[in-house]
Amino acid sequence: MKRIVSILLCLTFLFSFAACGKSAEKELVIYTWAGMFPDEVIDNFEKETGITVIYQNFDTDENMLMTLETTKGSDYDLVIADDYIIEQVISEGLAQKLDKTKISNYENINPTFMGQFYDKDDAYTVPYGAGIMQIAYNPDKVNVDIKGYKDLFDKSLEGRVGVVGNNRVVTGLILKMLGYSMNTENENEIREAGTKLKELAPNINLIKDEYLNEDLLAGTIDVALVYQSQATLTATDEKGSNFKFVMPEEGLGFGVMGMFVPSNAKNSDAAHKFIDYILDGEVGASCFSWMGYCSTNSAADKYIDDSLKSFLTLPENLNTENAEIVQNISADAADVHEEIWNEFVKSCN
Amino acid sequence: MKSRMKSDFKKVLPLYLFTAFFVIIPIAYAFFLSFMTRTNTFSVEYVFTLDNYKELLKPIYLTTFWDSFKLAIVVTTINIVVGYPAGLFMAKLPERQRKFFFAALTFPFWINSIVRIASIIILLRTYTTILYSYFAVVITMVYALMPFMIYSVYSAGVKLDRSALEAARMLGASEIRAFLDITLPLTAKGLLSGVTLTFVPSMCLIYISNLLGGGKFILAGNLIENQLIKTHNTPLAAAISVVLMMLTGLVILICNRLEPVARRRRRAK
Repeated sequence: MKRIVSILLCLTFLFSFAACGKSAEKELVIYTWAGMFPDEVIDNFEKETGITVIYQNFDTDENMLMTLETTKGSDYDLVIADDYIIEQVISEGLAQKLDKTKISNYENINPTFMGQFYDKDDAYTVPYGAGIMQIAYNPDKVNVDIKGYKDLFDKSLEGRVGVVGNNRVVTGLILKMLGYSMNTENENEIREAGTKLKELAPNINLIKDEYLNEDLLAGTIDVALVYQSQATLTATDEKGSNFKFVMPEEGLGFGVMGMFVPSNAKNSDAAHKFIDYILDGEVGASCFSWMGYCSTNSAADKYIDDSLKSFLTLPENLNTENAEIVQNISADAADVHEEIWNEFVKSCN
Repeated sequence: MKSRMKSDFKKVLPLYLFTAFFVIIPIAYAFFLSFMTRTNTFSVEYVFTLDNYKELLKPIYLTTFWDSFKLAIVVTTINIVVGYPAGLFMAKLPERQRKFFFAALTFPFWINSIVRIASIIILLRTYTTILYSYFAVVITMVYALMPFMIYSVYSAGVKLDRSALEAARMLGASEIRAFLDITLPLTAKGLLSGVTLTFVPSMCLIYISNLLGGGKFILAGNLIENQLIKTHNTPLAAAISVVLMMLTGLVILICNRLEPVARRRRRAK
């Protein structure tokens, strides 16, 4: 009897999987961080196309890569992730070339964000939001007129500075301040940045990757090196209306997020439709306003609300020559980065 | 008899399988990985090396282990000082009140620990200036681990033979003497299991040190996390885990040794 029950159970399982397979044509599985699209954008896409969107989250780029490696690029139809990891995805053959004839809004992409290191010919990706590292501060509590990274070292800021918890970004900006590349693999240069970084330690009160804006607004810290989205969230909060935001003069660190279709996606057609839909100006504007990242869509810029415009579109006089993206470096160089970062963190307490 | 053993074996088979799959194999794999070489493309090459352990002799790793150890000692000591009397006190109470205290200790566990810690952050941020300090990390860890100490001591305390205590007092032993000769040896097992339950996790409760310490305090657990997620040096992460396991194993071993010592003291009298 038990055996019969278990056989029946197994069969039910099998059939339920088979059932899943059948309806896949009308399904689009998106794999990205939480909170990348406002609900109404997804709802409207579903209404317009009759495709059901299944939204699955990862928490870090590295987890995403691991999942793609194990599923051999199937299971998901569209992935949105950071620049440096996309480079790895493409080099491992886990992404497929986009069929641009299916993307009628392709020209809307802002050319500044095209031809980046991770996809030089723009064959695999469409950018979806970009961020520039900035310094946000409360001028009521800070007496320094902050212009760049060097001002973060000011003695008057003891115990009042927060930085994001990403070692490559923070150390990278120090490298820029010293006139080196963020992506240098020269050990001496990285170590020099490490020594400089340690000088910043007395001023550090907080090292955290997420929601630095909350601590800025609560007054636990008064100055912070933040991601673009955190700057936007600070500025749009009631308490943050008088805050100042600085694009550091020594050079900028920025990042681009990209959409790509995994190599064995079951429904790449729906993925192309979705990309096309997101590239529409109005839709794009509501997405960027929701995420708080810089618009990568020229057609979207004019639909962005004026109060957000200075945060979500690139300043016209922006000197992109001095801007750099964190890229993958050799394992040995990464080890040195890890070591100096640990030393920095330890000297903060 | 034979068939009985066979059927017993069948009953515990799931347990064996579970232990094999989720405890023995992962630990063996971590041990194996810790002797492998990391390639420059972030993957693992199966070539034997001791470099990972040599790397751990660098001051940054040694001091981190020592810092985690110190934090664990501070947290455990506070837990003993506060939790041991509290557990004994609870055990002495009449049953109704005992149940009440027991429930009061259990209720917070119905709320996810991350949520509780988020509320502590809000409280500290609003009413104090200690958020993102060592002190904040210590008190939150004590808070998170205290119930384990109280429960362990309590369960030993309930079994304590009160008549032995009464006899000792009647025969003229001072209160302190009675405590040292009877209560302490008889509840030592509970106390030591409480120590194990608080000491071992406090070396690795990285989410507490990250959230309450503002990311400024690195514990051994952070080293593992960083090596795995940021630097992708799996063999080194495995080596750190192995050393950490040996350290905690040592603590458990010492606790187990101390228990008979405490008991013998009673018999010698």
